[in-house]
Amino acid sequence: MLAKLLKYELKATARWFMPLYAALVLFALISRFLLYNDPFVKNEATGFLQIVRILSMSVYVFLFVGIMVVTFVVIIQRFYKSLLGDEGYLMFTLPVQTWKHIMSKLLIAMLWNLSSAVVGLCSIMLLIPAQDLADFGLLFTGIKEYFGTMGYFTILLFMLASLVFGIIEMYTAIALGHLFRKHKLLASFGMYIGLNTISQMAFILIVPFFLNTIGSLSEPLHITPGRLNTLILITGIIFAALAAVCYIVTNIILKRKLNLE
Amino acid sequence: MNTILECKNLSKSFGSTKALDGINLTIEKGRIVGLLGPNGSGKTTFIKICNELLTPTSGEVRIKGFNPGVETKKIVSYLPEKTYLNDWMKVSQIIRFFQDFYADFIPEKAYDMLKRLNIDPNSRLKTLSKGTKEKVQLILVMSRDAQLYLLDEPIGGVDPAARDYILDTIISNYNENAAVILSTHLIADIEKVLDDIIFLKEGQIVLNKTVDEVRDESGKSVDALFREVFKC
Repeated sequence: MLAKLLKYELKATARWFMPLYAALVLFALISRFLLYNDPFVKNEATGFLQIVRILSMSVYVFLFVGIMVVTFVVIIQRFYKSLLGDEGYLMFTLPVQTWKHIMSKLLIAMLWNLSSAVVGLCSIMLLIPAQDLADFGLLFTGIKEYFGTMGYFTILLFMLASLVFGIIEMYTAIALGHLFRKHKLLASFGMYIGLNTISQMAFILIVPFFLNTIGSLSEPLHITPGRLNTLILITGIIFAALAAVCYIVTNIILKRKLNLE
Repeated sequence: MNTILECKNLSKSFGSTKALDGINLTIEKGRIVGLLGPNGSGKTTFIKICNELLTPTSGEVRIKGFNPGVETKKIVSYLPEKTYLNDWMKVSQIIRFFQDFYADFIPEKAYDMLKRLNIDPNSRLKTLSKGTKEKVQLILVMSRDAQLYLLDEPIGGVDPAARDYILDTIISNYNENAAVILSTHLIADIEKVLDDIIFLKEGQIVLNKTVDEVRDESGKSVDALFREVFKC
């Protein structure tokens, strides 16, 4: 049943992203052509060409920002509308466990987050001059220099865990806000701020404890790849643990306190 | 086991208002039951609890022995009073959706009814009128071979011609192993299809009888009795 939910969730959301991705890549290509193609550049850009260039770049930037906004809005909208809005009447009367509904929303939201990032990055690579592309490589060698080979693994894990938490935190805020009889939206917003504060508190309380074990505070902290990785790993694990708590809370609310009105 | 649905002391409060107050009820298979009452009497609340869309404050509902959950959702076909259709699918896609999730869904039946009501399976849900959406929802719900149909205001928003067709569908769908509970305040229209009636008033059952008993004992139609019981 989870596979079926994922299939429909993907279909419901793809209609937003696919055209936007296509348009972004298209305008990156157009802009690239206008920026670097010799015949245009040599001919001392006429006023008209300049306008076209600016237009094309503006559309590109507009689309780039648009994708970021849509990615964010779709995460919230798919959870709120499809589970707690009128469509919830359909979704929650399917013979499917509640946790699978949350999981399907979460996994598809992650997928679009990651693909928006990848597509965005690729479009930037299309736009920058070829000789500067090498700088992207520096990013990876830099990671290796400071974090060691393990760094690729720990940073990836950290990014995934913080992404999962970032999404599920919003779900939990919406679910908590839904418990209020009035001003649900405002309550959700308040809950989000509350959850953010609580999660930051968790970091403030937990991380220093581990700093002590990494290197004693009495001697100057000597930064080594091993210590950096341990620290990143610990923050990643805290994010993962917070995400798990949020998931459980959301599931309990939707299962036992669901009040569709 | 002839009992399909059983309620014990079921209550639901919203803040200080009691929407349902100590409902005890048994529904047997093969019956078509009218859940009747004025607005705000608790009809929708009751049906939503049976579908796990609301959680009771106290008491419980059992459907074929199960509390509302995944097991009951497999055998309960529910028509809400809301439009739950999303805005991105075509009619044919939502049929496929039901087929994917409900083992007892019969697509041929759905396409047959769509044809009878002149609804194009290729039209987008978004473009349908409110009445047509309600028809599509009813078609989806009645195309399941369920054991309990919970229909909340099934004829409220459709024209009288479609109303007759829908009632015919409910009767012709009659199955001695299934029960139908339908809530409405359009009593005169549905009186002829009902076996039993339940009058709800301020969250309590004030009358629970067969239609024949009502006619024999009071000599009145259900509609007339309703007007008398709920006189304002």
